[in-house]
Amino acid sequence: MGENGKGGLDTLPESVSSQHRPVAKMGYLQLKLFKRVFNLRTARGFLSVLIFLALWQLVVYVKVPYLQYLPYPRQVAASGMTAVASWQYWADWGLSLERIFVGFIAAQIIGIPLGLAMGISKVFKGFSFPLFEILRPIPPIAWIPLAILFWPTRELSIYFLVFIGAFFIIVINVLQGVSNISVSLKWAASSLGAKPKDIFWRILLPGSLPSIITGMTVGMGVTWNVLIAAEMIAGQGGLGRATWEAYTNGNIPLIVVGMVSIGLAGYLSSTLVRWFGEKAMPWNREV
Amino acid sequence: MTGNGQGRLSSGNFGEVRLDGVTKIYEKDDKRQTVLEDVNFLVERGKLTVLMGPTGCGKTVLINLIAGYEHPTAGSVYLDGAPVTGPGRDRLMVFQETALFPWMTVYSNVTFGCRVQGMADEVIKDKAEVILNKVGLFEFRDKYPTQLSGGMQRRAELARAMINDPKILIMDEPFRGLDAMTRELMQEFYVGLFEEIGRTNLFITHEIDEAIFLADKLFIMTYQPGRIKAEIEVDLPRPREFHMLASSRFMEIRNQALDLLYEEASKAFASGSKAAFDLVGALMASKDKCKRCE
Amino acid sequence: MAKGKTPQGAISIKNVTKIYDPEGVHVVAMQDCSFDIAAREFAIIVGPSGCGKTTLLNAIAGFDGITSGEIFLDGELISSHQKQIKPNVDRMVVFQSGALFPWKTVMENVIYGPIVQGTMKKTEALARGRQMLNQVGLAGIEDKYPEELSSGIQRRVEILRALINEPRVVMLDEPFRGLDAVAKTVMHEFLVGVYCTSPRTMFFITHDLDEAIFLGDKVVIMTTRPARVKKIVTVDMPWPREHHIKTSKLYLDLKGEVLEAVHEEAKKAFQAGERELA
Repeated sequence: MGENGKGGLDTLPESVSSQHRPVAKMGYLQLKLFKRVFNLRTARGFLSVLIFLALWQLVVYVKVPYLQYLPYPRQVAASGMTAVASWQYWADWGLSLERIFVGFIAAQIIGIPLGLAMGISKVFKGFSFPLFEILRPIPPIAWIPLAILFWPTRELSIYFLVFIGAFFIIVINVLQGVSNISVSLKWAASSLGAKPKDIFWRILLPGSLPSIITGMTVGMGVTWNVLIAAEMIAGQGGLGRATWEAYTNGNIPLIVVGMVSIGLAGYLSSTLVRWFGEKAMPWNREV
Repeated sequence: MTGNGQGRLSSGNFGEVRLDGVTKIYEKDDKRQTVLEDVNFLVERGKLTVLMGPTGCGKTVLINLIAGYEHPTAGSVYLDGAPVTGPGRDRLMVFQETALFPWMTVYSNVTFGCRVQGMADEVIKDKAEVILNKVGLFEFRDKYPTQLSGGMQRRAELARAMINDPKILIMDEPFRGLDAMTRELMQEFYVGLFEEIGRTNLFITHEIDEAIFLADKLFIMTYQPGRIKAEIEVDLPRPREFHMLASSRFMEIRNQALDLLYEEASKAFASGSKAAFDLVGALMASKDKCKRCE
Repeated sequence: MAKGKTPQGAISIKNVTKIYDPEGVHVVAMQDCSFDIAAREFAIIVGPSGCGKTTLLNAIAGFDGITSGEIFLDGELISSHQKQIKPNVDRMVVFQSGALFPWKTVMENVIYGPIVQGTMKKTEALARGRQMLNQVGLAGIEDKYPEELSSGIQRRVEILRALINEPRVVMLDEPFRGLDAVAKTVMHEFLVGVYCTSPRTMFFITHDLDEAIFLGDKVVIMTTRPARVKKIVTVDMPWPREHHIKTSKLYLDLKGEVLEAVHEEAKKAFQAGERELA
């Protein structure tokens, strides 16, 4: 028996035999998770979600004008269950993720060196920045028609659009990152004997890492935006396409399932970038 | 007495810096600002020289010229007779704001200069151990700068500079922003290091007690344009100890310096100061006005 | 001030203990701290960085309570475990960094207290404000905004803003910190001036020991955590204080005494701090 009044399994008495331990231990972990998720602070959050769902149910039931065609929460849940069980759903996930991956990574591979070059060389910046700044204000979604016309395949045009989404953001962030590096750091390095190549590899690159990570994080959010739009307009397969097709087929619960799935996929991608950021910058954690 | 280059911590090869008719003018748009004008200044070999002056008098520009980060508009800066052309390991600075590389550990920061030189790892390790122990940061060598307190960061920067045995160590208001208690202890620590190891030190501050406590020689600068106004010999005995702050000689020097600073500061001061003086003066004249004296 | 009226502002601190408990970490900031400040006395509090000095200031001002012990003002209980009197213009606080209202002119700032309290009519307050500004040679800046003025002038306006309310106690928390040597000298002259014109109890926290002895009637030296009174040094020098006293033997002896005590405690606090970080 545990020591706390709830009869919890926080402390196991010695007499429990080893074969019982794994089960008991799992129960202990579950209890810990339960306590972590459901406590006073998160209770408020849960309450508001419950109220939201209840209102949703009510609005449809009472047939509020314009909103009466919304599906019931239960219908959405059912549709979701079906989707999750189907192979097509996960194929859509895969397609969307692949497109994000290709476009995003391409943007980093081209954008980061470009941003660094602009930050380091005034001459290079003078040459390339004006053109860059003319193109940057064009919203990625506005590139869709041109991309479809000029790329040989639909997939390539989608990769390109995702690329555009992340590209301008990463370049501008890297540029800012380099110029934000305090001049005293560069001076200190020079005095200590660093030559230009040392300054680049040991000072500029690590020094702009925080901005690079910011550029990646923001860029990741934008790419999902662009991807969904591109898929809806021109794609074959993918979560955006699926959501759009749900609309054209009049399957409203599936639209909501699509939306939730896209949100989840975006959240997971952002979390991945954030995790990467934390690993890449161990010095940012303060003790 | 000053150190003699104790063992591995210093080779004893201390430098002498001389500024000869140095002028620095900044031009922005159409505005010309003469920050330094015809400065003639000698930083004596092996001594702790302190430079003081009102905010905006060009102290930081002056030391940037010595460090080689900026170049004079006219005149020259000499280290041991040779003109200074750019940054170098013989003139190292501890900046006002911490310039530790945040992405490197204390150990990597301190050994940066050595690593960039291509020194052997074993040699670097030895030198680092000695210097880290000297500044009391050996147990913290694997920590990142953000994990250290302000005082510890400054000590790490001192270590980073000293491990390279520069001819002159320049400190630009290094203890600014530290709380009073840490500041006091850092002053003691720093002057202790100087007295033990020796080296030509140039220290900038605007805290008068700090200046006198540390200095062998105290220089006061004028306010825009900056030049050397006065030189005060601080003949307090070494090793310096905190109780000296209450000695009459200390207070004498303090008053002398304060008078000089006051002259310069009042050029940049708005009204009010004179009137306050007048008020106290008036109170002295007619004691019955002073209700406190009841 | 009418003759025969008892001077006010006597503070009595008795066995004050303050325990902080953020997230179950039991921190005894202050333990059994006791001392008195006479009415209209200029008291200086010095000591290592930590919660002690600010704890007392907060308790007297009414911003925060104490765990045990009592604080009296003119015989009236203002702080204890059960009771915590609310902040009031009677016990005014002047903080470290600029707290002037940036959207108000100097004059509007200065007369803010009496106007908002309703203790003075506008014409009366303006007249009083003008008088106070004139007295310290700040006459021309009435209609200026804080950002147009130097920090030295801002500080002085802030102090006037506090004083116009005629508080029984004025509490200043390192008000001149960060100012350079010359600016401080001017501030000291200013403070001595206003204090002598209309004396009231001063509770002045500082790290600058010259400032402490130059301004104070008594210097209360606190220990490191848990804070209590280590020593009280009485500064028996005449008012108004003048700069030449800084070279007198009495001044130097007092400074030495305070220095030694403070330095001892600073070392202890520093070592404790380093251990916390390791």
